[in-house]
Amino acid sequence: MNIQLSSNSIELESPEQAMDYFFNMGWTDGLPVIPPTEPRVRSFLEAARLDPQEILATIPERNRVFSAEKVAINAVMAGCLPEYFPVVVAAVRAMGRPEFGLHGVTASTAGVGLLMVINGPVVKQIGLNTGQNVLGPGHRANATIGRALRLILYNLGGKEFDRGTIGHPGKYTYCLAEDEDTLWEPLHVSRGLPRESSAVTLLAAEGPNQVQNHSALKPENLLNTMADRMQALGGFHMGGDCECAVILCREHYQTLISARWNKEDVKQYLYQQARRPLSDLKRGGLIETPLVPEDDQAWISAVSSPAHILLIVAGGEAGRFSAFIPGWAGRHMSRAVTLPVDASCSGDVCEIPGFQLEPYKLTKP
Amino acid sequence: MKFYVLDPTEGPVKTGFELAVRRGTLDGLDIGVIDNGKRNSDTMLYKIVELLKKRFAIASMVHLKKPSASHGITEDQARDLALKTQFVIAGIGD
Repeated sequence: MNIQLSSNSIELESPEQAMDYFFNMGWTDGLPVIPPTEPRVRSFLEAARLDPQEILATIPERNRVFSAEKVAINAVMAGCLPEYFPVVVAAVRAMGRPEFGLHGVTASTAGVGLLMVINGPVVKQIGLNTGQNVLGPGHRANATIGRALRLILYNLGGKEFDRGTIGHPGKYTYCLAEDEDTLWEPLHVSRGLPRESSAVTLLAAEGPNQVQNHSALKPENLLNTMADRMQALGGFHMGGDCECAVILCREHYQTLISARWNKEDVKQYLYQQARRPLSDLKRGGLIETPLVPEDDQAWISAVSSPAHILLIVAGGEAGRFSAFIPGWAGRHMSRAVTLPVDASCSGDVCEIPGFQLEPYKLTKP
Repeated sequence: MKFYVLDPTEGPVKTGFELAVRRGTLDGLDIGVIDNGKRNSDTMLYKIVELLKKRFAIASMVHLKKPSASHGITEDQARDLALKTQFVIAGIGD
């Protein structure tokens, strides 16, 4: 490939000076970065077979465009390897989809992160972690692919737009892969892609809420603990209509599969159980209008459909700790997006052979 | 020996838009109000319009409520506002 790069070249004395320079310019996430040299950036574009000027995503509300070249530069900085870059590209395309609502997601005082779930053959190909410490440190692919998104957003999307009040550590990196060594249908398949494809699913998400249950042997009892966390006051799920992710650890998965529960059974049960009466929201201070008797029978559900729960299995072999990951705001503002890793996209339409995502139309909720 | 790296940043795309003509007064104008749909955005914007009405003889107000704070108004909505109003206030609520 004949790759012509157009970014300004900065002359410095050494890689060490480059790391300091980037930090002083405000181009990092606070951690040291890998200096993006021309050969490194070229290798990324070659790995994804991309023209440097191809636009991967935009934020129309800010007149921002994300070119392949600039995305590659930031992926180098994050510490990615060239073979990770197609996954980064798919994630960037996903975040640029209108239904993801990137402008609001990345400006909100809610300070949410971009949770990325990876599926398919690419997981093993590039060494993504699905097991122990799946949301913790230690695996280069998980750490750097997620980190690349944040650097891209800051350096191309405008760091000044991030008004997160508190934020959370997932804004550094928030990338995991689903453990597909189960009897359950993987996430990307339930969202319409062929099992043999590799895919990225992106969700605007709060930090993970760890949910432990070391005693329940019945599925209902296990999931009641999860449902309790899903209906916590103080999150968008009480009164909003947002999506969420649920990560079930292997031990919890074993309890459910032993009782022959599949993913749809789990999602349906959580949807039905994760609700509380309006009176709770008033007593709990979320709503300041007076209590009326009818409030005890007015139910507020954590999700408006089982389909709005992104359910995956991941984590270590030992430990009965799963996680509920709340979503953001509401589906009218942002929806999870799943794209194949090798999608070819133009405008609002992404294609892989045999599949086509419909162009998104913004409609009132 | 020097070490060369590439600039990772990109600013907003420069569009060829021009600032609208500044009017010295709002007297006789139709004003538009765009609220982002969040709670109290309309309350705040209506309050602003109330204050403006005390100072100016505003002809009318057109209120546009966005379905999502994550997205801008559509081209059609922008054209409609441009036809019906001469002055627009966009505001947020949170």
